[in-house]
Order: sequence, then C-alpha cells, then structure tokens
Amino acid sequence: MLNRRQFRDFDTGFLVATLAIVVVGIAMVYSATYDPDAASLSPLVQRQLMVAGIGVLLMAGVVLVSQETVEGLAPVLYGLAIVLLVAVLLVGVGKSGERRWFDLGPLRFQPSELAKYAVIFALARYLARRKTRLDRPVHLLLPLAIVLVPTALVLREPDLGTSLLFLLLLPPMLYWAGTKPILLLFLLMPVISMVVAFNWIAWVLFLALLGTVLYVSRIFMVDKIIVFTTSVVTGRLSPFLWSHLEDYQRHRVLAFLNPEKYRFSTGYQLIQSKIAIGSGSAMGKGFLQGTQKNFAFLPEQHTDFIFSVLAEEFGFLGCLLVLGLYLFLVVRMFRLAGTVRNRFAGLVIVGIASALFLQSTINVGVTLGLFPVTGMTLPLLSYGGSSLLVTLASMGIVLGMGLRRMEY
Amino acid sequence: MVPVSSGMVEIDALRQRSRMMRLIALAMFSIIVFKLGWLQLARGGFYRDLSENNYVQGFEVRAPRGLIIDRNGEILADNRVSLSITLTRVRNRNDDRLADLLAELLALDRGFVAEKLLETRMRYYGAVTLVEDADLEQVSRVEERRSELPGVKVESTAKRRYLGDRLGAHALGYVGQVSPRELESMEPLGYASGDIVGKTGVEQRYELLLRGHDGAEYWVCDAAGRELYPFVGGPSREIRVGHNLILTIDAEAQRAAEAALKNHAAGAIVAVEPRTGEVLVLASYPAPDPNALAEGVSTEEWRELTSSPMHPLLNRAIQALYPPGSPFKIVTAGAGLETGVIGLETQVMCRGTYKYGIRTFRCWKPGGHGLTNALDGIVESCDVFMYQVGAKLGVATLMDWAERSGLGRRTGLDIAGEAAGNVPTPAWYDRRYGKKKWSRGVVINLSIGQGELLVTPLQAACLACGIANSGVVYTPHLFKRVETYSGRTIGTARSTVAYRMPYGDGTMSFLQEAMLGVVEAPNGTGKLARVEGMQVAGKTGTAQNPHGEDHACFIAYAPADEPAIALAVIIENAGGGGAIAAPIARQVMKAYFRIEDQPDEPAYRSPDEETGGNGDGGAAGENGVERGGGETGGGSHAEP
Repeated sequence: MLNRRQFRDFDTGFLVATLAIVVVGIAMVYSATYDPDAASLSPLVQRQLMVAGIGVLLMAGVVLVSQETVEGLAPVLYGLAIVLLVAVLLVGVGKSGERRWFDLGPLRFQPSELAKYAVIFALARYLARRKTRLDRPVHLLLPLAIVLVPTALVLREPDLGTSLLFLLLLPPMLYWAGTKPILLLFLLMPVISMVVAFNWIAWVLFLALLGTVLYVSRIFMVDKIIVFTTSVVTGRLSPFLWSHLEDYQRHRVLAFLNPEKYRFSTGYQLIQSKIAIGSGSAMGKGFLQGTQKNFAFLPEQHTDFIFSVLAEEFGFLGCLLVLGLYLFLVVRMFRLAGTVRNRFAGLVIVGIASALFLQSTINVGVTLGLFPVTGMTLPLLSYGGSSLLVTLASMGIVLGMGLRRMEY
Repeated sequence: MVPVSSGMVEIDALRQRSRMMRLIALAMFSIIVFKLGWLQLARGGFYRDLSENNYVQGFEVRAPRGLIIDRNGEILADNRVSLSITLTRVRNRNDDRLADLLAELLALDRGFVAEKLLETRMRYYGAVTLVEDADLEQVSRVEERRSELPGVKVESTAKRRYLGDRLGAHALGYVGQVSPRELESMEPLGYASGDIVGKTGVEQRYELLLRGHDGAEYWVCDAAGRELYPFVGGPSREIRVGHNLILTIDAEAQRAAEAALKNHAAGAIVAVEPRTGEVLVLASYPAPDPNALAEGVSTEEWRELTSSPMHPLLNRAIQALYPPGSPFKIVTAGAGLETGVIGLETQVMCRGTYKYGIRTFRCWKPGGHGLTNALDGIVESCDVFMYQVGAKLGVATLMDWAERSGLGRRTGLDIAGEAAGNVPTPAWYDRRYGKKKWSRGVVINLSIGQGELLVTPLQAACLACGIANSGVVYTPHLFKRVETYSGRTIGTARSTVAYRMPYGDGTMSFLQEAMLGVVEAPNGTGKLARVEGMQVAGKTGTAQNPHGEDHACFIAYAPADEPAIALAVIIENAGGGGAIAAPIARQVMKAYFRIEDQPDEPAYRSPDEETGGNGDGGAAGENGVERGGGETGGGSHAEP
C-alpha cells in the first residue's frame, strides 16, 4: 500500500487540470444541446454529469491499484478487449449500420475505448521485459501484431478514427522502449511502397532511393535485405491484389480514400465549423450565445465538433486556456515518464500521454480544417460515456504511478 | 573513458526521449494555436459577418452525362436542357408569405409549397426542387417577381434524351434515380441519393465512364439570398462532363432490323462482325420507350410494362431462350464428320419418316428427300439425315459437340443479364428426370435442334460467326471506344477470343460450302436471303413451339468469301424460317452494306414462288408425330 510520504508527491495540478477539462466539457455539451424552451436539463447533459461522477470515483479507486497488479492484469485485459471487439461486431449497434456499441438498456458501452488502454498495457508489458530486443526490424513484428489485431477489428465496425489511433500509438511507445527512429522509418517503407506502386515510375524512384539509404545506413545486412524485399513484395503485390478484389471490396477501400464520399455533409460541416470558430474572434460570443450551432443542423456538434462550440462562445482566449490544459497534461505526463523507475510504468504513462495528445490534436485539427475528417472525439471534453470513463480511469493510473515513481 | 553503469545510460536516454516527446507535443500545439489565431484573430471579422449577416450556401452544379454514339458517329443518346424552379434556405425569410406568392404564381398547392420551403431549412447544401421541367411561362413569372422571391431560382439541368425512336433501346438501356440498394455499393464512388445512374444495358455497364461528376460551389449570400461572392476555402469542386461512349452498333442496320421486327409480334435480331466480335445490331422487339423510363414511370405504368404478355422489358437478343431449330444441323453434321460416324460421301435414304425404337419421326418434307448426303442434308435441311447422324452419335457426344461449339454458356457480352441457355447432357437429363427415367431417343429431337436444347439469339449469331471465321469466335461486345467530351480517345476495346470451335479444316470448309448452298444453291431453303452483288451463306430454321405457331429463325453471314457480318434472326410465332426470317436477314445485310432497294423490286418477295411455301419444316409436328416439343416453351423464357 501507499504510505504517507508517497502521498506528498500527489500531483494536485494534474488532477485539477483534468477536472477542469471535464467541467468545461459538461458546460459545452450543455451549450451544444441547449434548448431555451426545455423545462429540464437535456438527458445528454444529465448522462454526462452522471458518468463524470462515476469517472472521478473510478479515478480515485484506480490510484490505489499497484503497478504490479496493472502489469499482471494486462494480458487479461487485452484478451477481454479482443473478445469484446469480436462480440460487438456480432451484436453491436451504431448510428448508421456501424457496430460500435453494446446496447445495455439505458447505457451504452463502446469496447474500442477500453481496447485503447488494453493495447497500451499489453504493449508496455511486452516492451518492458528485459529480454525484449528492439534494435532490428524482426523484433518489431510482435508489437506490431499486438496493435494490428484490434486495429483490424475496429476497422471492421467500421471506425476509422479509433483504428488509426491504435496504429499511431505504436511509434511513440517503441521509441520510448528504445527503438531507433531510423528503424521506425524503415517500418513504414513497405506501407509506402504499397501506395507508391500504383505509379511504376514513382515506385522505381522510391525503390532506388530506399536502396541508397539502406546501403549507406548502418544496420545489419540481413535487415537491409528484409526491409528492401518486403517493400518490393508489397509493392508488386498491391496492384495485383487490387485488380483481383471484388467490386464491392474495392468500393470499401475507396470509401476510406475518396473524400468525395463526404462531398456534401462533411464539406459543409467543415465550413460551419470554420465559421463558428472564426466568428468567436478574440473574446467569444459568450456562454450559450453561439449562433452557428442553432442555424445549421450539425449532428456531431456535441461529439466530434464540440471544439467549434467552445471556440465560438469563448473565443481565442478560451481556446488557448483549454488547449493549454491539454498541453499541460501531456507535457506533465511525458516528464513523469522520464522520472519513474519502473520501466512498465514509464511505458504506460507514455502510451496514455500519446493517446491524449493524438486524440486532442487530431480532433481540434479536424475542426480547424487541418486534417481530413476522421471521426475522433476530444477526450474528456466531448460527449461520450465510455470515452470519459476510461480516460478518467487512465488519468487515475497516471496519478497512481506518479505516487510510486520511486518503486522499481 | 570512465565506465558508466547501464542504469545511468538508460536514465539519460529516457530524459532525452522525454524532451523529444515534449518538443513534438509543443510543436503540434503551436501549429494549432497558429491556425486558431489566423481564423479567430486575423479573419475573425469576416467570419463574424458570415455568422451574423451574410451566410454561406453550397450549390450543386450538375454535370451532363456523356453521349452514346454509334460506330459511324450518329448520336444515339444526348442530353436536353431542362429548367426547374428551386428553393434554397434564406435566413429570416417570411416563409408564409413566400408560400402564398409561389402557390399563386405557379398554380401550385399551397401546402406543397410550404412543405418544400420547410425542407430547405433542413438542407444546408444544394437546392430543393419545387417544379421540375418547368415551362417557359412559369419561368418568366418567377423572373418577373424576382425581388419578392428570395432564395427562389431557375436552374437549368441536363437530362438524358434518347434520340432514335426506341432505337437500340435494349442495348442502350436507360437511366433513373439511384435506388437505395444500388447506393449501398455506389456510395463510396461518390454517388448520393437522388443521383441519376444507368439502370440497364450500356448505360449501366459503362456508368462510371458516362457519368458526369457534379460540381460544388460555395457562395456567400446576403440576407435576401443573393449570391455575393464565392466563398474561398470551402470544398468547391469543378464539374467534369461525362465521357462519350462510341458503340459498335451500326445505327443504319439496327434501324432496318427494328423496322422488320415491327411487322411481327415479337422477335430478336443480333448481328456481329465475325473478325472482331463487334456487335453491329442488337435488336429486340417489343421494346420500352427509354425516354419514358428515364423520366420515371408511375407504379401502374411499371406494372403494365412488367406484366405485359409480350414482356417488352425482356431483352430477347440475350435473355430469351429458343430451341435453335435447324441451324443446329450444322453442329450435328460437323460432329458426325469429325467423329467419323459419317463421311462426305455417306448417303442416307429419306422417305419422309424415320423409325427409332417404336416411335416414328418425320422429315419436314412429307415425300422425303430421297438419297441424301451431308451437303444436301444441310442445304435442303433434311431431318431424316440428321436423325441418323444423331442416333449414331448418341446424346452425350452430340451435346458435347454442342457445348464445344459455344452453346450453353454465356458469350460474355458486355451488358448485364445474358442467359446461358441449356445444353441437355445426359447428366442434365439424370438430374431432371432421374437416372434411367428418360429415353435415349431424345437425341433424335436434339439432332435437329429441338427438345430441351435452348439458345439465345446472341449464341446463334456467335455460331454463325464461328463458321464465318473458320472456328474462331471473338467475345461479342458493344463497347468500341471512349472519348473525352473534347474528342480525345482515352480507351479502345480490344478483341479477345472467346472460344475456338473444334472442327478440322476439312469439316469447316464443308460447313461453309453447305451454308453457302442454303442461300445460293437452286435447291437451298434460304434463297430469300440473297443479296445482290455478294454471296451469302446461311441456314434456315423453324423452331417448334408447343404453345403456338412455330418460331422462324435464320442465321447467316456475308460476304461468304470475306465475312463482314454474321447474324441471327428469330421471329416468334411467325412460321417458316426460310419464308419469314431469311428476307429479314437480307434487309439487315442490305442496310449494313448500304445497298439501296431496286425501284422495281418488292420489299418482300412472295415466299411461295421460290420455296414452295415451305421454307423449312412447315408440316412437321402434326398428327402427334414426335418432332420438337419438350421444354421449348413460348420462346420467352428468361433464365432465372
């Protein structure tokens, strides 16, 4: 158990920042769903309040869990997440034909949210082992597999944003575990080759460049050959596979790549989002005074586009404050990761920090038109019970690991 | 060097990595803050104006569909301009007053107008159509009162128009609004509900080439709904006109074929260029009006189309199954020669009847043909000769040769819905009737192309192609070339070999000689297909139809020495092939070769003069004598 001395290390600032974002989130969900004629609080706000309450309790409880327990439970949690992801494909529900949630009467549970952290724990446990070696491409195959299984399952739901997040978690965690950045780049080569191969001139140039870089780089000859041949094979294979796909399968792939799919709804959503954000100017229009949210029927304004509501009502200043809170949390976690003695704990903190960092910047980037629409929510702030619950729990884990930073 | 413990090295490394990660996070957040500052501080005033006074409206710019053109440049389908009156949302508009005014101006139901106006409030992109295909009077009334009608616009759109009077209706197909089921697979390709897509035929098959890519424009509008200036930074898109499709169809020959079909109740004509597989004529009668179908037909009209006993929606050329009749004698004779059960000199005595077991089968010529060899057997279409060949071959061998001659499988034509036909092998009979529950005597009927053997007119045309081309059959196709709207060719069809007929050189030249005799010899049954100035080869046929009058059929190719066209004609319930179908083939060939009618020549020569009133097998099938019958049906059996 924890002793009194350890509690002196409790990071109050971290806790306050987390809770501040949650409070802002509830206020924004309230504003986004505000109806002046309604007698009572919107059910969405009620639910978000309830989940936030449970989440804070969960966070407090998780602080008490030792890191050995977390490490021991990691494989169990990973297995459970995979089972749930398979199950949700069979019995899940969603907005328009997707299978993302379990419908549990009044509550809904989104297993991909749980899976995010299950993947982080499983990766951390594997990478933390002393005998795990990460200096050659072959060593990266198992961590890749740990990530690819849930990625594929979530992609089937389909939920592009979340499955993308799984993949994006891998590089920072590998980097933290000691993989050289150059190796991470090499890991990308077969993927790039697959895409480039559709234009053979570009492909030949790409291979020539890759060959030159590999030739001068100082890695094992075997690895050079592995990277090069897998790139050649995937590149040769992809146009061939493409032409042998069934029509409907090809359409599905195009759906992910073709922005025309979103030609009207999201195109307009983006314009509305930009107008909302821009019209907020420096100081904002004031709480509940946003007009864009009423004028245009935006179905995702309390989830994916909550940031534009915030920006319209609280302006540049408000945004700066909220972004500052996120940056504070992320930087704080990366710093903590550098000081904890337990290798597993360090990796978990890096994973959680990366998840928070990636989700928040991608979500805000989308509302600003920096990235294509992926369907990622703003953690802690967007409406969504499962996400809020597990994110709060993950913050609890970081707080707990902060208390135990001197333990090996 | 001072040795350092690995723990210290690791801690240093972690510190460095931690610094790196924090740096990346800071950089990313800085980019976001920079963009945020640009939108909120630099451009804040502009956006505030957009959110309070003016607003952004997205407009759809419809792109026209590509043209469909015949092989000689005649346009078969283009687009016409259609004016429609549309509504877009306007902030703070008095919809009640506008509804009153519009209902009065356009003589519409007020409730309907109010409903459409309400719909605009839910639509942030594109317009809601109030009046489709508006007439000029409606348009001018709206234009006159423009200032009182905020958000009301007259838009011109391109709509599909089929130019010929149902010319090539089945080959071209028609367009219509995309159905929810089609949308499931087409949505990823950028289709949205309400889009116009090809439903059948070439329109459907080459949808992705023909489709125009709609454009999108975003405008900043003022409070009255007037467009002020384009909104920069919106996801605008240029329109892209659809590609023009050049078909292999020869409109002249197609017209001649359809004109000839109109004299009968129903039928189909298919013509193919043997050396390439290019489909010159694909005619099926009766045909629906594609313009009406593209406009959208009512449920009642649709029910009428689908339940009509003449099945106008059925593309008989590729979907209807007929017993091939006597043209199949080419396969019977060819198989007989190849397997050696007969030789070129083998003679058979035809006295008009043939006994197989206890059953008697008749020749179409009651008196019989006398001593008949293989050549006479085809030229005079002697049934008894073929019965004997068939009996010697047996069901299995004969049907094997039928399959190897290309029957019983889809030819691979590039439009949807082709039927495979049926080649009844012993295995098929076993499945159908049970083992040993059927008589080997079915081979007698099969040997003259009757019974359960079923082919499409397209397959019959391919049979003619195969003989014309000395065995090589190219995959028939309607697609010839695709061009951009400015005329740059971006794709050309390539001819591919579909299959090769298994006849040796000797047999092949015999079959060609025999088919030439059918038309050109004095005793041939297909003399009415003669075309002045060239030699025509062909084979007449009369497919027995247990439900009514026989189907007349005829396959041919010309010129015999260097075939440029091969065709199949089938006329339902019309009688003998020599009398009815052969002269139609002649008309189609003349149209294709652009041979003018001689002024003193009647369009149809009387059949009685030259063929004795019996093109082929007129009297057969009477008196309960077994010939034909079985599963032939009325000729309009589409495969499921």
